[in-house]
Amino acid sequence: MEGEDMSGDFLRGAIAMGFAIAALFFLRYWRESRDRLFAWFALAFFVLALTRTLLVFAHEDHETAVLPYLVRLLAFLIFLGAILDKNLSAFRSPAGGRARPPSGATTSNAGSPPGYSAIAAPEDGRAPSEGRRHA
Amino acid sequence: MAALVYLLCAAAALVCAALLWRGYRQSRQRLLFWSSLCFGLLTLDNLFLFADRILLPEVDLAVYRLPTGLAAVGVLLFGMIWRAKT
Repeated sequence: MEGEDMSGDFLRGAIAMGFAIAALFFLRYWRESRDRLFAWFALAFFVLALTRTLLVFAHEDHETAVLPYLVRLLAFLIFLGAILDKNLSAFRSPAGGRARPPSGATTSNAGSPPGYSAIAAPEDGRAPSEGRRHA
Repeated sequence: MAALVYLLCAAAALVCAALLWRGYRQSRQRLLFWSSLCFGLLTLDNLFLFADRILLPEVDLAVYRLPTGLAAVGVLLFGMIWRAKT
């Protein structure tokens, strides 16, 4: 029905825009930290935004329209590769790949696994890189 | 082919959610929590897709799938915006 199609397309458009905004956030984190995990996440979220946009135009209920889902699978593999790459590079590096927490931050991350502390932006809204510059 | 792609999407999202959750449990960084939640909901989204297309093709599950996808991206954006105080 046309009304259901319109509401479905509206939701697909909203999801696509949300993924694009998330990609821009990660792009900002990458620009400020130069941590490639963020670059990969930005790329993957852009790809997810693209596939959701394609689904609006490709009419999702078409049985043969597998291509957008193959691209979606590629995006998830990029996420997975980025997380694994972050972990592996953290284990390889002598410092454990761990970014130093920004000044003023708590040290509750002392037991945190290598490779994850850089993913989070500091609580005060500064870029994730601000702690790394002193590392 | 399509069924395999849907299941692989769900599996990859689930592994991402698990790894991010493991990171959150050990570092307590909230963006990891929101990211993990996002990927958990994306896993559900992909499972709904599999059910919609393969298991129950006669039932339209888009009414569950699309809100789940929107919730997934919503929680991630919430986590990013909430912590980026200006």
